[in-house]
Amino acid sequence: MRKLRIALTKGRLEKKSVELFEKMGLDCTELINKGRRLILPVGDYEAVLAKAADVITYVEQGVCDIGIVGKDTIVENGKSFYELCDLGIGKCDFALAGKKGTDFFGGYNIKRIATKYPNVTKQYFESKNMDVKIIKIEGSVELAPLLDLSDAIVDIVETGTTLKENGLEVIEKIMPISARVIVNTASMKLRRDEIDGFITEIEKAKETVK
Amino acid sequence: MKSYEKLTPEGTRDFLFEESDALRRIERSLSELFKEKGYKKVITPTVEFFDVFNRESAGTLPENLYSMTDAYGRLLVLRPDSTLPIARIAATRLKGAELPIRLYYNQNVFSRRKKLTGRNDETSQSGIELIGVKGIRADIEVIETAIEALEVCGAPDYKIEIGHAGFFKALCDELSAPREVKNDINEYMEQKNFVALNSVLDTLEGDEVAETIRNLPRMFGGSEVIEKALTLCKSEEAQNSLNYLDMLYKKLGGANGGDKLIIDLSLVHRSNYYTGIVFRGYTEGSGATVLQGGRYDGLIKEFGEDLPAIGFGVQTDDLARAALMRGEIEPQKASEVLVFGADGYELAAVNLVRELSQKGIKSENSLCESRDEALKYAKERGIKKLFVISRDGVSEAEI
Repeated sequence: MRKLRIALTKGRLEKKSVELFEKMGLDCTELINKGRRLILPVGDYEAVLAKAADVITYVEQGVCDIGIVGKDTIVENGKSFYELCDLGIGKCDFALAGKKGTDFFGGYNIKRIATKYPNVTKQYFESKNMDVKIIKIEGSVELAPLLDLSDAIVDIVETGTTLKENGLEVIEKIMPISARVIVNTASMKLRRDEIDGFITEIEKAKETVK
Repeated sequence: MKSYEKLTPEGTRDFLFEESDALRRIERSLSELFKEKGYKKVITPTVEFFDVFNRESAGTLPENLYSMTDAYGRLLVLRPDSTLPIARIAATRLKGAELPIRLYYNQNVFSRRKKLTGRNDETSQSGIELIGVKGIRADIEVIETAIEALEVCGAPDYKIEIGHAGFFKALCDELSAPREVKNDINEYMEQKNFVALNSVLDTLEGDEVAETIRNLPRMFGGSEVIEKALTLCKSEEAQNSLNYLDMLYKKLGGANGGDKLIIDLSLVHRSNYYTGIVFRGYTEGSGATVLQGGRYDGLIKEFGEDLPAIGFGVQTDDLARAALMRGEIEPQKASEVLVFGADGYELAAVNLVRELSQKGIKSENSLCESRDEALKYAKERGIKKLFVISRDGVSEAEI
């Protein structure tokens, strides 16, 4: 049987995930000095570095057994998999933000919302029974209200500095976000002991990192 | 208008050589297994009236069906499932037949899948339906056959999880929530979309049953799971389902179930027609479910005959793909012998190829115009022998 394969999210969560792995006593030298390689041995596991949305695809399709990915990507793209634990790293919030001092919920005009997360945005406004126009933006969403493309944005907000520097403010927080461990549904059944072992170890490591 | 003559539609594919060999081999092994157990084959039409599948209990949403109309404007669909057509047969053509009725099938089903996920809209399934009998003996026969089915497909490691549709239904009945919320809970539990499930449950904060439902995804394993659930779920319906499940699990564990069998209390199927035991199978090398089945005692009644039934379907194309990836299916071998018929001996050459093949020697009829060309062809393809048929009879040429 192949080694248990773990998909890690590149970028924001990568460093902290490596820290956790080291706390678990896993040898991360190859992961740290990875060069251009994409599949790397980490202790008895095999790690794959991928973009957040791809971590979900790999785990859902079963080519990776375990994934470490932000709750933001999970709620935006998530479908069939187990979400086993909250790692408490990469904490931030989904928030609705708009130009400082404007009354977003006032008036009868249909509002336009720019976002990288159309599904989250759709669900949020559906839960408010509010019709909106959603505009998908790929990067620097803060630009959209400044250019009057949209009335507000839905995005992840960590410290709020970027918002403040651009004259924007949080109108409402939507939900808290942090990194989660997800597991493929078939792997959960076929390799339960190994997966339970991994989860116990990472839960322990999580306590010491805090 | 753009022409698509060189492409196949999204969600469909060609099966070439070892791909189709792998699929046929799996289908053959399964057919043999089902036949041994006394199941008889049925083939239902690829195209059926929409009405067969247009019921609340069906698993495929109307928007995911491939549909068309007949000459009278009646709505037709490509079958998305084989159990409903078989229920139709049981209630009509087999009305009054001696019970039990044991049927098996081997056919393709069609439904639109989420785009850009690499999944197919046309997939191949083999399965059985055991109709007309209630009770634990029928349940044992069918689940044991499901285990054997994964075994004959050559899966090196597999698991079958069993649950009870009545248990989850009982829990949902106890839950004080509007119907739409319950439907959402059912849907998310079926998809194992535990993220969405938890956010729905969050809205029911404080409800004891909601907390039990929240814990279900982790409630899989052996008899200990049932013991735990019995302390959590007090309704008679839920308790009865759990006790039945436990009894079945124990009886199957005595056979060759053992560690291949897991109880999973979060197991819910998309189709609402299941009433009793439900089960699913997983194998290594395939990230999704490769086998699905359960007891559906109310379904055939919807077609007019009150017959209990239980069955399952196996995703043969997924298992074939897994077998190919494991390298179990060898590419077809090159020919050992090339047969060239001189002018006037073309037919004799074809006949000789047949004779050799019957003796187990893989041979090929040469389409070359001359003996020299045939010789060159054999050399290039690495065929070891060239037989020439002419006025002088059959002779072997030097290669």
